[in-house]
Amino acid sequence: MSTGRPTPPAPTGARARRLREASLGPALTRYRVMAIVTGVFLLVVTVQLVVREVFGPEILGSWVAIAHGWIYIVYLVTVVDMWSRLRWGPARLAGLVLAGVVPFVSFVVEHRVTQEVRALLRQLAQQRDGA
Amino acid sequence: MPSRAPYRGGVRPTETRGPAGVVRTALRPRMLALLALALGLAVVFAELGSWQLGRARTGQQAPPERAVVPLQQVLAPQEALSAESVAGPVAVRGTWADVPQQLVVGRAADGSPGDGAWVLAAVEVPDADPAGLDPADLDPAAGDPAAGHPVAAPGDGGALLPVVLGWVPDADAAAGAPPAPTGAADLVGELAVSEDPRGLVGLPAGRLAAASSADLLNVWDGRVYAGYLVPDAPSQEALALSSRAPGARAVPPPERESGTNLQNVSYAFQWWVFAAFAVLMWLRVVHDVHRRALERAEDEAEERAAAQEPRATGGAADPERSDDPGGPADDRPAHDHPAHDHPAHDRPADDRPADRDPADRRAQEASR
Repeated sequence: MSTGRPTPPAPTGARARRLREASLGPALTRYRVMAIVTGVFLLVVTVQLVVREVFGPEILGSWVAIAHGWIYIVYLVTVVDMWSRLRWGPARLAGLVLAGVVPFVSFVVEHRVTQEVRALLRQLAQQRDGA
Repeated sequence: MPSRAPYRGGVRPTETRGPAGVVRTALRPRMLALLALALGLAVVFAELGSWQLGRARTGQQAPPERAVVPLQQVLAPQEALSAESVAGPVAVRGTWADVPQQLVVGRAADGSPGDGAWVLAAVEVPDADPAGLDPADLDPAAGDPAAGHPVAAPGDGGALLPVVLGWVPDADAAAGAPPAPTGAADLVGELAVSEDPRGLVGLPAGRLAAASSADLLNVWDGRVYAGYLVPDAPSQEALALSSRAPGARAVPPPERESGTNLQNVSYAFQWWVFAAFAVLMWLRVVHDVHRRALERAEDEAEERAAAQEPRATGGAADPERSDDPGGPADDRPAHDHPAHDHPAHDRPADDRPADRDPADRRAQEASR
């Protein structure tokens, strides 16, 4: 695992038990799906905007922008859900919320979050198995 | 929220459980400040939603079916179309201009991408309506270019209004058709905003990629209105078109900016959802802050219970513990654990610091 940031110490005791009971895996999957879908739509919206400004014609029509707005709302729901389960701080919530509206950044954040949560899940599993 | 095992650490949590505790958390100054922020955001978002809805309705603020008015009353040459311009039909009187007829290729009759082409001609419209404003003269149903109307002489400095004569399925067949109509023009129809320019690059003469006034300026001499007219009733010129181009059809009236409207309405709803989201987020934060206070109390009790042992911060078991389970335990009798009847479970004897009490864990698993 190479996320660039040091691996945080494994949670212990009641903290670990709570995280283990928080169904982090499914929450992470929901977040990842929505982060990738949101990121792709954001890219399409951006490309369409640039093409329209430079060349004139609209490629796909306004439905892409409309769809992105609603997809982003679903993304926010998954973000809040996962953030709450992980007991993360408010700064991380703000980061996740903003990541959904900056092209490309959404993919980077999604990757980092996945690595981090997976590492956490590994630690929790090791503790339970008494490795 | 999953039900929690009864608290057994021997130290009462300072935080009140249940709804009363949540309310107390919500009434803290920090939470109230956050509430003010959330409500402020909600108001801003709701206002943005209303503003978007207002934008969506601009095209309909004027009476949806206002009476026919002369073109000059609602639109000046080379000026942007207003809500009033597209709020109803306009009457156009002038002369068919002697400019090359254009084919807007690559579109279906309704303007969507497809095969076929629109046929664009131009009416030269004097800047002032020569007939004066006499509504009685303006009959939208009349396809009759009544010769009685005074008509401005050609070349009096009027501006060109693009008129969609119709749609042809085969642009190549239409290209060889007779020239554009001539003489007096008396039309009633709907105005549409000029499309975005696509340029003339790669197109043969007489072909355009969009019904764009900016593109038309390159092929027609003179001023051009920033919109085009779709006649309501088939004019004689349009009928003439169908007689000379096989499969020609009239073009349906333009939708009044409906695409933009839909987008704005959707944006308006999105802003309202964001407004609701801001308030829901506050509730969620209060809930989480309260839960964290409860959890912190639990953690502190646990740490107090293990106070005599080095803290297992790395997740890995302290070698001391597994080697000598009795050692640290000997230090603990001084610690206050009146309710604790399983001292052996009080600290992780193996590599499971997470499970303070295996019995506790079994109970939870059983309750699932």
